[in-house]
Amino acid sequence: MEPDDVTDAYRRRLLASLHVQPRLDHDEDPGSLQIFVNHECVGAMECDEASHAVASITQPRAIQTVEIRAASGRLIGSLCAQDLRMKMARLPVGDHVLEISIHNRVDGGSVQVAYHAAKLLSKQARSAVKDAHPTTSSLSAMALRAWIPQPVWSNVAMVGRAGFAVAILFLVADRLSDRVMSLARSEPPSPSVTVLPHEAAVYEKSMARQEDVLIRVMQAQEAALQTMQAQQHMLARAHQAIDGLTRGQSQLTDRVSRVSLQMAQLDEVARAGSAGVARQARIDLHGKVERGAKPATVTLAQAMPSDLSGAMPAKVTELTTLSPGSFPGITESTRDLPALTPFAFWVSFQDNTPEKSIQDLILEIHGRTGQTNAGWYNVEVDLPQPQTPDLFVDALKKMTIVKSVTTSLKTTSAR
Amino acid sequence: MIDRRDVTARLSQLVMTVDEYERLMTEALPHLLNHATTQTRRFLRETGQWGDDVCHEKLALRWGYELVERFLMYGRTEIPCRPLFFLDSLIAKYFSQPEPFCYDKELLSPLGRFLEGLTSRAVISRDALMALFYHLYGFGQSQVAKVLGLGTTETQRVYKNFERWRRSGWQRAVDEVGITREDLMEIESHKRRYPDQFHAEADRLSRIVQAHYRKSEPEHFPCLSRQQWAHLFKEGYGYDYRVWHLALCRDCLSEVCDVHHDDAQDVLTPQLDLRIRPLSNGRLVESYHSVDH
Repeated sequence: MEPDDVTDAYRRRLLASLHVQPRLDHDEDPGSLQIFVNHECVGAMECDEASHAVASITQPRAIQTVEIRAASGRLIGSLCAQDLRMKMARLPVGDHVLEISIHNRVDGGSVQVAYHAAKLLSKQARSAVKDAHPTTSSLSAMALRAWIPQPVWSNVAMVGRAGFAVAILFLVADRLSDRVMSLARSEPPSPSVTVLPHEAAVYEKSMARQEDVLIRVMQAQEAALQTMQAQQHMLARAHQAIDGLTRGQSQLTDRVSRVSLQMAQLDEVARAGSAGVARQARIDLHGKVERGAKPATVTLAQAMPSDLSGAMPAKVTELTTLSPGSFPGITESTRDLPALTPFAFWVSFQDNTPEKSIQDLILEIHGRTGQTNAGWYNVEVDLPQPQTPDLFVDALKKMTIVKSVTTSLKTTSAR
Repeated sequence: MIDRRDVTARLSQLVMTVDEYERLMTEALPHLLNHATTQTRRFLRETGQWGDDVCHEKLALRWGYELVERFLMYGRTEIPCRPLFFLDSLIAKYFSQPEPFCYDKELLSPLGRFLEGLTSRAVISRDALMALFYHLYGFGQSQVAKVLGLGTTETQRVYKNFERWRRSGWQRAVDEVGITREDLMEIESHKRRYPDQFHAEADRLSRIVQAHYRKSEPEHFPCLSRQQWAHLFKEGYGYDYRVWHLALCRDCLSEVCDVHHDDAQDVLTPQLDLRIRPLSNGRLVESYHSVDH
């Protein structure tokens, strides 16, 4: 034989092997499956009797290839994850399904291989057909499995088994046709999905996963939206509180200005009138200011929403919890009132002035009466610091019932 | 016949569905095998391991075939892809491994190719792995079970392995490695005529081959000391370890047999006794059925 002929013959032999590779025959029992990771055998998985078998392998190196081979060495499934972190595939092995998943991490990789045996029912159906035709060749058995077998009338039990198998096949075919028709009605044709069952399974699984991810993203978006709305609501309430605060401040400013005006007027009155009247007016005014200031500060406190304390900055919270009891301008001024100077003088009243009017006037000027002498009343008052005795005497002389005022009875009347 | 340039162009285009992939692969298999063989040939040339003869051509074809076999399976899970580019990437990745092939000029003889093909098959096939005990040392099923200390279930599997190997495994392995009927006859003739020389050569070559393919085992499968082996058998663990390592390491196998002798067990001492053909129901497979030869 020529060298070229030898090479050609070998090449044809290899091509023939490739044509039957890498699928398992439907009737071949997978038996012991060998798992190869990066071309190294890392273990075997027994799939003889078990309906499901799972093998997990973890190693410190990244996993690039996983191969599953039968005990005969035939390659029946593989997965390649050259640069991916995660990859999964479902591969049909005859009637069974092989699931390979690769997960690569920084510190190594892991592989999980799961073998799912075909349904028990389909196995029984297949064995029933096999038992009914023990002498047929494998090719004819395959044909009979696909179509209704010829009746074997010689054996009732065999016919019964065959009938059972036919019924199963009919049900399966009916189910499949229903599914195909419903798919044709409901979905546009998608070649990548309907090509192979395992492709469809992979597609469905990936779709389900994407759907899950989408739902989770939507939930996260909804939660974020709710948080934003809550924050917006809080912000609106904070704005309202600030508006209330501003209004309160303006009211307070008005009142303070009014108090200042009244104080100025009081000063004028004090200058023009008696010291006692001025003092009483000042006291009245002080009371008014206090009464006015309290509602204003209460309004400020009430302007802040009760549920806002958590959302407001610490400084704002501190502002809202300040006590409105004292009002600095008023209390400070009260404390800063000038010291009183006692001033004693003699006053005489018009004729026929009732004693009650005299006492009222003395009470009005907060005077303290002393002895009386020939119609003259000795009175002592406390004058505030800026007010001089002369001004007080002038203001007192302007009173209608007062006839004359003098600081000493030895002197002549001032009037 | 499909035009080569047309197929190359189609293999370079994007394949979108599995159906399309399957169709294209069926049509383009000869071109894919040629492509992988050419790449292998180029690798051997560039690494100074090439010779213009049938043996090297066969080597390139065999390794090209193994690459295409893997590519056909990997490709199904890589869709959409450009098949030719994907095959090139697989080939490049495979060749970038340290010592991707077991290459030695002395292994190009019929005996060398037989030993190398048998051992490389044992790496991917449990049937071939178990058969190594028979082909190298003449161990039968029960002897293998004794040496490896297997239980009832594992022993049954060994019988299954031997049976499958006899029925089809050996033939397929020989075909795919490229051993012809003439090669087999030459080996057997050499064994008959020069037994001592044949034994010495087989001993030397088998050590080269075993040393190379032992590297295919996982890193946690090193040689053990005698005490460690004794402990492993006494405690009854590491069945995969025993099978994989002892089939490919003659020194450790001798240690294990000594351990069994110490325990007064009836096991054979492993001595190289190369058997070319498997036993078929107690008889040697004398007839050689080849499809193309």
